[in-house]
Amino acid sequence: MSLAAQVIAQTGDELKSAAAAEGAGFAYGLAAIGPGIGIGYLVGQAVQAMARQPESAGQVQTTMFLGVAFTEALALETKEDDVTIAITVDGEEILILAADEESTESGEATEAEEVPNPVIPEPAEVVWAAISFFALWALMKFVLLPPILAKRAEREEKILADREAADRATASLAEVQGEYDAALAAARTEADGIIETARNEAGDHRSGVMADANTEIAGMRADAASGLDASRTDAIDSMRGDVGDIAVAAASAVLGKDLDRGAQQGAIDAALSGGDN
Amino acid sequence: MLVIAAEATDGGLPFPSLSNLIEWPNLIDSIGLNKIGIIHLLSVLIPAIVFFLAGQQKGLVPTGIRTIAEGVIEFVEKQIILPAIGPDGLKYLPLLLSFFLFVFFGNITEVIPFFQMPANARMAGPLVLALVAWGMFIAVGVKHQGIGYFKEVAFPPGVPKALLPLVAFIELLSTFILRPFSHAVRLFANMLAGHILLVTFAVLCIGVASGILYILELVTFPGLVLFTAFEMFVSVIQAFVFTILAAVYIGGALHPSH
Repeated sequence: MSLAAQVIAQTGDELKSAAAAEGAGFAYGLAAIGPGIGIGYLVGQAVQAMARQPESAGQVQTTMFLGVAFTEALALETKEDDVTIAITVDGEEILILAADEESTESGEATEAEEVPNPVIPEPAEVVWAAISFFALWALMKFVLLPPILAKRAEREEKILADREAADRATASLAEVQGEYDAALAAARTEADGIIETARNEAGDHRSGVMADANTEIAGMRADAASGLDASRTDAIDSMRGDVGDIAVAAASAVLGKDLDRGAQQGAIDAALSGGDN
Repeated sequence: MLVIAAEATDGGLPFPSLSNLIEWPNLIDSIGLNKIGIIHLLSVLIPAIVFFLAGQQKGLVPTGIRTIAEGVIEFVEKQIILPAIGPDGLKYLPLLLSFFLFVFFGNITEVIPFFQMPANARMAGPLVLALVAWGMFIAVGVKHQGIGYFKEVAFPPGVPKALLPLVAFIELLSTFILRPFSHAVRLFANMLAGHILLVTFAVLCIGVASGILYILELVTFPGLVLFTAFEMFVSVIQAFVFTILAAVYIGGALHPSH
C-alpha cells in the first residue's frame, strides 16, 4: 500500500481506531494475567521439585517447558485474535500497534485492498516452506546423518573395545605381576636355600678339616709319644746294657774273677729300676 | 526494512501496520520467492553444509564443525527423544532433528541483521511443520496399534460410561483437528509477538529521539537490547518446545496409554 494512502487512512478514522486499539490492548492485558499466574506457579513448583530431587531435574525441566508452552498458548491465542497493543505515556497515546481486523479495516477503509489475517498462510510461502522442509528431512535421513551416526557408532564401539582391552591389559598386568612376585619369591627361597646349604657345607667342611687336623695332630702327638717311648726304651736298654757291662766289669775287677754276664743281669735290672723309681 | 507508515498526529507516534512488518514482496515474482522463502531455503542450506562437512571429516575423534553437529544430535537425542518417547524413538531422529533445525533457523533470523524477520512469524512454515508432525503421529499410531489407535484415542480408559460420547467427541476433535492448529499457532504467535515486541522498541527508540522525549531513550534503548537477547533465548526455546511437542505426539501414538 502506498504511504499516502496510509496517512489518509490513519488520520481519517484516527479516533475510532485509537479507541479500538486501547480496548483491545486492555483486553489483552487482562488475558495475560491468567497465563502469567499459571506460568509463575508452574515454574515455581518445578524449581521446588528440582531442589527436592536434583537427580530428576532433567525430566522436570522437560515437563516444565511443556507446561509453559501449553499455558502460554492461552495468552497467545487471545493475542493473535486481536493483535493490538497501545502504549501510552502520561495519558497520551504515543504508540498504537493495531493489527486486529476491526482497527485495520477501519484504518484502511479508503483502500480497496483487503488486509489478510496473519493466521491465514500465504500459498507461495507454504510451498517454499514445504519444499525446504521436505528437502531438509530427506537430506538428513539419507545423506547427512548416516555418515555422522556411523562414525559415532564406530567411535563408541572402539571406545568400548579399547576399554575392554584396557581391562584385559590390567588383568594380564596383575597376572604378570603375580607371576613375577611368585618367581621372585621362589628365587629368594632358592637363594636362601643355596646360602643355607653353602653355609652348612662350609660348616661341615670346617669341622671336617678341623677334625682331620685334630686327628693328624693327635696322630703326630701319638707318634711323637711313641717315638719318645721307643727312644726312652732304647736309651734304657742301651743304658742297661752299658751299665750292666760296666757294673759287671767293675764287679769283676773288684772280685777278681769273671762274673757271668747273664747271671748278673737280674741284679742289675733290679738296681736300675730301683734307681728309676 | 521498517516503514514508518504515517506521520505523527496529535503527539502520537506512528507505528507501521502489521502488513508492513510481516509481509514481504516477492524477490522473484515468477516463483513467488520472497524473504520468507529465502530464510526457509537458508535453514535447509546452513544445516546441510554443516552436517555435510561434519560427515566428510575423517578420523574417529570429532573436531571443529563435527563437534557442533554431534552436539546438536546429542541434544535432540538426550533432551527431546529420550524423555518424550524413549529409546525406541531414536529412529525418528532425522525428522525431529530437521524440525529442530528448521524451526531454530526460521526463528533466529529475527535477530540477525538484514533479515530481522522470523520466518515462523508467518503461518506458512509452522503450519507445514505441524501438518508433517500430525501426519507422522497418525501414521505411527496406525502402524503400531492398527485401527485400534483411533479407538484408544476416542475412549481413554477410566472414563464413566455416561460421559463416553462427550469424551470421545472432545478427544477426537482435540487430537486430530485442533492439535496441528495449536501446534502451529503456538510457534507462529510466539515469533510474531517477539517480532512485534522488537519492532515496538525499535520504533520507540526512533520515535523518542527528539526534544524532551530524548530522555526516554534511557528506557527504550536498553529495552531493545535486552529484548533482542531475550528473543534469541525464545528462538531456541520455541524450537525446543515445538520439537518436543512433536516428539510427545509421536510417542503417544507409539505407546498405547496405560
